[in-house]
Amino acid sequence: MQPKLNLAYFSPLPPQHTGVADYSAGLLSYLRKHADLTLFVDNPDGVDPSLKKQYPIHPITAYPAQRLQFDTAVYHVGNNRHHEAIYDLARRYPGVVVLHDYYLHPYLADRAAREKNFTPYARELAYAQGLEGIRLAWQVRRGEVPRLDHAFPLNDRLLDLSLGIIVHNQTVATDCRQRRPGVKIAVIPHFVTQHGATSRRDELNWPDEVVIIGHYGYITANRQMPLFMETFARIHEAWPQTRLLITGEIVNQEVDVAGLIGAYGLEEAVHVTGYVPDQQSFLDWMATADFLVNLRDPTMGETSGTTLLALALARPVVLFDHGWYGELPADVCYQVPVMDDAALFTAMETLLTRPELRTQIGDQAQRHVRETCDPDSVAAAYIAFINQVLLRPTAATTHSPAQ
Amino acid sequence: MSEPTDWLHSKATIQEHHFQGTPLISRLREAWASVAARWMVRAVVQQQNEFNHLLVLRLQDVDARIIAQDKDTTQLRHDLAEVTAQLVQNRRLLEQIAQRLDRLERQA
Repeated sequence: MQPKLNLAYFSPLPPQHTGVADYSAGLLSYLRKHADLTLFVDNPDGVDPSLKKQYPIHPITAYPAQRLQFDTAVYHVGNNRHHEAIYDLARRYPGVVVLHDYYLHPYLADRAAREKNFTPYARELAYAQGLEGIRLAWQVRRGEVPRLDHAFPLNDRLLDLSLGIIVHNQTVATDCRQRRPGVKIAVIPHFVTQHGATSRRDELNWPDEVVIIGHYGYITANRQMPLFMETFARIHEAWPQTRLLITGEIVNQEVDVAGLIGAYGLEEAVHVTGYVPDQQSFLDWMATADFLVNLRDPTMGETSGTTLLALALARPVVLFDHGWYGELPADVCYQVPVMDDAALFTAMETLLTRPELRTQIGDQAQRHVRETCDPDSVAAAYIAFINQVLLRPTAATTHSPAQ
Repeated sequence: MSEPTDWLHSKATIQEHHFQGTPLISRLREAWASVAARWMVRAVVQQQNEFNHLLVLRLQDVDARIIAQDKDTTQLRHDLAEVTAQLVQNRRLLEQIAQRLDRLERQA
């Protein structure tokens, strides 16, 4: 019988404020049924105590000396500094990379600016684009062109190095295959654990008849808050019984939410909870809304865990129709053309005036998540792909990952 | 996006400096330079420009070779990771075989 996989696992973990930390915390409990897991993090002392009880946790710096004990390493790579040490190690000791964002360019450009070290950034642009990349990097350095964050993903080296790449959606898989046709890649859906949640509507002291529109998750510039707030202001003017509930942390002060609320005079119509640390409270606030608006432009190739949680709670979500958001079946959400304010207005108007449509979409959304995001199937797909990458015979009980 | 010109390349050619100041002073300085320095300096500038252009080409060549080596190193690191993973798998298989052999020997 094939022994269990022994995996070194690299990911941000709670209480770090990033969606990947929550994702990993959930995934680990399903992966452990199939594999022995040792976690490597920047600061083991800072990891959530419940995880410390369940898994051996070592500092990332200890991995090089221990690496031959493991079948391979699983690196969760995303587009922010929580993944910095992980990214560096994935380059030094390649393994299986879970690519949460297709575009790593913004992270690399930010890192170059923060560390005042331009060379690694120029190196990655050169790796991706050859001599043209060096020319572009110098143009960026000299301020002759704006940042190139969405012109080049700068994931090329990771694609070349890694033993295998796991992504959560077809859009990113297609893009990766176009850049590197030979890459071993598996599309494994984002999982969702089915949660119960209780509405906290009573705490808001809003009249019973109001329709609550929700906005959840980390607030970054690509959430397009100015467009959303402007549209909500128009909606609220036409339907004064609408309210807006905003739950989530503003990242790096990228967006002036309070300023936008003030600019449109929406103080009485908007409630901002700020960052909610525990997931149950987050879900309870999500269940408080009648429907959600979750806009991203540009998309970094991410699959939105926040959106999936909302779908699992049978809440309709208004989304821009691109990237992974465009892959969702049309009957489980409300997709609008990217940055189309008229379509966004119509979507919000339709959902707030048609409660039966909200129920219909919500039910279909919940069914979709139940069928496609089962955590046991996701964990089994991870193991099957890693076995395949390592040329290990696949156990009969595991599922083949989508190719 | 701006024109695809390499900044280094665009700076490689030295341009003649024009004197600033009142028209009379400028004309006097230009006249003096054309008598005293222009023909000597022009030859030096030409030499410097030729050198600069060769230097830019050489730097581009160095860049191209660094990029090629970076790609080779990356490919090698990938290959090494594959070999390491197979080494680990083979070691685990050997351990299993040794355990089986041990059991069989004890049974015999």
